[in-house]
Amino acid sequence: MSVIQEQDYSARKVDLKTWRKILGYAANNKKYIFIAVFFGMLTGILDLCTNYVSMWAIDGFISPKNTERLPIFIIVAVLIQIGFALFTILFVQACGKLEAHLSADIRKEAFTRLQTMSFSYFDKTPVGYLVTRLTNDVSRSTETVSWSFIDLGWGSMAIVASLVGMFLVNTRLALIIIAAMPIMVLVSVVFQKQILKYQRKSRRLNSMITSSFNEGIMGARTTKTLVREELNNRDMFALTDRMRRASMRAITVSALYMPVASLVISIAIGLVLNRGGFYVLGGYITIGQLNFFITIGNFMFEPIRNFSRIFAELQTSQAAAERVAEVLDARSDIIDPDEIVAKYGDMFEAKTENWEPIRGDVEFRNVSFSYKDGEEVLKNFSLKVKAGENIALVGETGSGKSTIVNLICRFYEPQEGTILIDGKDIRERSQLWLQSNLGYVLQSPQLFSGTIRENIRYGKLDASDEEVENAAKMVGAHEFIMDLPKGYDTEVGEGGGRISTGQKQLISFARAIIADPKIFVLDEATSSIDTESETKIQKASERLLRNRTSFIIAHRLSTIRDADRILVIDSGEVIEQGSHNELMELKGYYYELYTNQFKTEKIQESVQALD
Amino acid sequence: MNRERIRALFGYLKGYRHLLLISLFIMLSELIFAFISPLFFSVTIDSVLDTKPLDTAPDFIAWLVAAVGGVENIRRNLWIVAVAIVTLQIIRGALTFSRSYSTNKASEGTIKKLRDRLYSHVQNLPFKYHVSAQTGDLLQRATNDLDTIRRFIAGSMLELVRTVMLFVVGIFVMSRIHVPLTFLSLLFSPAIVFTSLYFFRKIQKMFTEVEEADSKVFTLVQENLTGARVVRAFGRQKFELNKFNEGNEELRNEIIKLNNLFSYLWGSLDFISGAQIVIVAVFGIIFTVNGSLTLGQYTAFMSYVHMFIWPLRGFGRVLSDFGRTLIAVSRVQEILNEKEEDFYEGLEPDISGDIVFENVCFSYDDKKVLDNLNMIVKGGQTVAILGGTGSGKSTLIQLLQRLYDIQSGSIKISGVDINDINKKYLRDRIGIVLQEPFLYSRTILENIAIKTDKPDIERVQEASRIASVHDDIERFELGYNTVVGERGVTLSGGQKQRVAIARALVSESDILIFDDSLSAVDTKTDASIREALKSRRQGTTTFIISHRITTLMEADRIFVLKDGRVVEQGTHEELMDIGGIYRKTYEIQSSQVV
Repeated sequence: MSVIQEQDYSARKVDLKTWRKILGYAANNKKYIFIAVFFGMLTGILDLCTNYVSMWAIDGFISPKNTERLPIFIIVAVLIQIGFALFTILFVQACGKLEAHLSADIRKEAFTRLQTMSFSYFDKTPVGYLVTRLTNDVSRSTETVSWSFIDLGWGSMAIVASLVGMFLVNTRLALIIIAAMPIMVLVSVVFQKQILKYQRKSRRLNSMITSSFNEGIMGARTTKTLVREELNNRDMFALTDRMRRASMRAITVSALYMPVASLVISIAIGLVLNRGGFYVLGGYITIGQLNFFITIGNFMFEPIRNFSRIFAELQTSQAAAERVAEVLDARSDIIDPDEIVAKYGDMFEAKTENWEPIRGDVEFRNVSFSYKDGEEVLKNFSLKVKAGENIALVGETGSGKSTIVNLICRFYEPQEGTILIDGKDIRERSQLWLQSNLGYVLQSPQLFSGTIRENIRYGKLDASDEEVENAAKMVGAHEFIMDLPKGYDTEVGEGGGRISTGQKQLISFARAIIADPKIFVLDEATSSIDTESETKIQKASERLLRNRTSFIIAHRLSTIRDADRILVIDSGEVIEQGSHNELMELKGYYYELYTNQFKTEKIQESVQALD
Repeated sequence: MNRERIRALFGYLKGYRHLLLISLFIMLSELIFAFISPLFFSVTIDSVLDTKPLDTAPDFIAWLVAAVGGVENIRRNLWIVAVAIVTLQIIRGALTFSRSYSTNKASEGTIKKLRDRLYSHVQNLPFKYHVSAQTGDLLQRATNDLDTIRRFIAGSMLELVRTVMLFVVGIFVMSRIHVPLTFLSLLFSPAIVFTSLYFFRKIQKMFTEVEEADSKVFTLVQENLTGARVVRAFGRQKFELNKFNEGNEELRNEIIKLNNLFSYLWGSLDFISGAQIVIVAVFGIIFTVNGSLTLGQYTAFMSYVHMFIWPLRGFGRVLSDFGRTLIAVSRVQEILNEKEEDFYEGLEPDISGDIVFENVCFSYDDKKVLDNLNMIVKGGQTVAILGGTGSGKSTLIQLLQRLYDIQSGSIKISGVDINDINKKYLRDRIGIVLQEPFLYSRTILENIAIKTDKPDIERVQEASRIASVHDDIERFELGYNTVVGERGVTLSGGQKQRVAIARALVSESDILIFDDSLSAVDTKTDASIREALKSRRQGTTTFIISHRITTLMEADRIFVLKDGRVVEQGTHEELMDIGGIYRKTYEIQSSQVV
């Protein structure tokens, strides 16, 4: 369920290093940052100008009762407003572009990085986790940091300009306003912290409610049979009640913030009026100047509030930024050295002109391998397979059979020993060279959205329509594809969701076979499909496997009876090997496995007979 | 259409309407105070700091001035003005706080109530609804749509009213000071509203496009990472990167376009509102110089014009919120309008007696599933059902629990027609283990004892032992207190199945059903469960649905279903003699490896 994603509600210290790193990913970031800060600052100056203009209106026109120079006033005032509008457009666009480029560039960088990671990384990292990093976390962190620049530019200039402006007019009144500033800062910081704390609490409850709702929906049928409706309701109501109370606390705190802050301001203004009024009466300052101080007092709070808000936001998104940085820092544990890359090309750009053709001899020489330290799956494992040989691997889950084929594909790197293809250590060629020569069919057929044709063509990007159809015919998928209303142009849906698992598997077979690979790997490829499709594949397999070195791991032993050599694997060792008949005569492990399975298969067969 | 939605929305507010009314009242007071504050400054400037007579000031201010000893006294003690300002601010702050409090109390309360109602409604919707329900969509409505409604109640709804009040109060106060300037102050209001509306329509459209581009990127990333192994196995990194770049760049460009729209919206609103302010300033100056306005009143007007600008600028957003909320309401109503099951009517008879199915027919849509099915099950017996996919065996069980209603024929338990029995009572007395059991994300203990509040650990352990899951559970670090699911340990399919069996065994039931659930456990466990059942429950009618003959053969009576009818019935021996489907199945399953 994608709606529910794990969240991190912790507030962390704002670490500028992380943010600088995040910002470093946008190519033109300096330009946008400059525009945002610069026009933000200009806006801050304009704000002060507006206050000056108000003062000018009173002292220059109203008090002397003179409207002679009003046209100039109008021109200045209008120019200021045009400036506001223009600057707004400019800095909003700059920040928007910064955000958009930053997030796109980071996503691209992270995506590229993930393409180079080996299987061990994906074993440890759930897909949902990575997807959240690349979507939510990237958006959240880039948004916060991009937009903070306007406020930074505007706020700092607004404060500086106002201070300068005030001191130019009257020092004592300026000091009153300045005295109020630390109080305002304190009030803002304290409140923002509290608000953040309570918001986190209610957000956590909110996601709990979402999970409960999800469970209520997913489990509704079971709930009915267990008559648990009322108990479920009671639990949910308790949860929503906690949620209401938590949000009320959050709301109460934030509702208090503005009144308290305004009170501080009004006290400052009261003091200004008290003193300033006295000055006006004494003729030291004009009424326009007094008005100027009152406006500034109201205005000065705005940047302080913005600063504390930005700080709070950075704090909230700190965790997101750190997680993004983590993905960007990830390095694969299988990296082609520079000299290999120089000769064969890297993961993205192949130098196919230097690629040697592959025959298909495979050899394991004293290979030891473990996924986790101390848990050795293969120990000193050796195996020799001649080009064109069909090998079947049999054994329990965890026996090491999948590991063997994964090592052949170089999805993992053994800790000790060497694997040789055509007599040469696989590390002496690039990963892409090997993997481009592989045909690989996984247990759960993974298709990509697009048409059936596009999915088959994934195995050979420049394949003609005819080649695509031939591949489909070879695996026995052509008939069902033609039965679909749109044939090869049928959209398979996200992850292939619109067609059945068996059909998906047949397509993934066609995808693997179209490139005519010299090494062919079927990792439990038939266990998720129905018997009918399986029979089809079995019929085709003789043709499929001809002239290729193949490795088949199959749960159903009936699929592997025809293999040239069956290897029974237990705890990383070959305990029996030979043809089906040889192993059956041996009456050992294989024999027992086969007999047991036979019974299960008979039950399935009898079920089909019932229909 | 919209009227219905507004009525529904108003209905949600029930129980909290008085709070909202209070909020409205406070809001009105706030507005009045907001308009009064500048008048204090105005009087201070005109009559205290200058020497204008008090006759231009409103009566109540003149009265207040007199109360504190007249203009002369204030002039000597300027702190009185300062105190007045602070006092005014305290009142305004208190009003703002209480308004915000009561409004949010109403919105949070409303949403809690609505959330509870929606949840319990979903719980009480019939089985049929849940079979075809789209969980993602349902959850989306329960979370996002509800949140849209909450935000509207807490914000935009009162904002809408507030804007109207603002105009009424504003025009009243301002026109008493200076009518032409009042008119000029509001001159650009329509332009501001229209601009903001115009852009908000565009922005909303653009939003949809950004969302689409966004979900495209999401899918690209998700598919690529889910298929990471395929990508590697085919060496398609470059191909994938190119595909991703396309989507990524499109998203970037859409975001920039949306953002540019915002920049133009804000830029033009800045300009129009700026022009409005300049007009008031310029004419204010002219009127003041002419003498029809005092300096104090001029400053008051400058404050007022600002008070109008912000709500007007936000009006487009408020209206689009309103539109969105109405859509959310209609989506929520769609669920709420579905009819709940009737749980409260019906008899509560003893159901340990015979169960008689007589000419039962049932079809889903147009597909006939049960076709004149007849079956008699003696109370306390163990019966087994064998049938292929689509033979109707699961439907039979669902009818027995009244998850669906029979369309014709009858089912009688202990002589009582099943349609007369209370649904909750019936289901409560029937224990069932489904083929794909669902466990709640709670502890294993709670899951097994899910029907009670206070789990009896002894009984839970006993049931777990029978279901041979006790050892598995004990192996977990937290044992029975291990949380299962998303937030805890993921159980294997077999473990889940056995926990579900323990769950069914732990509570007393008159009828016990294993819907293809024993075949998921190995033969030995299966046998020991059946053995334990036999010795433990005298008087419990047990249904076992399975494909495995060894699971079925010891039952008191075996029914073979095909195409919604009973085609064979009897004991194992009898059915073997008949030589039909049962025997054929038996033979296939017991054939030997050659």
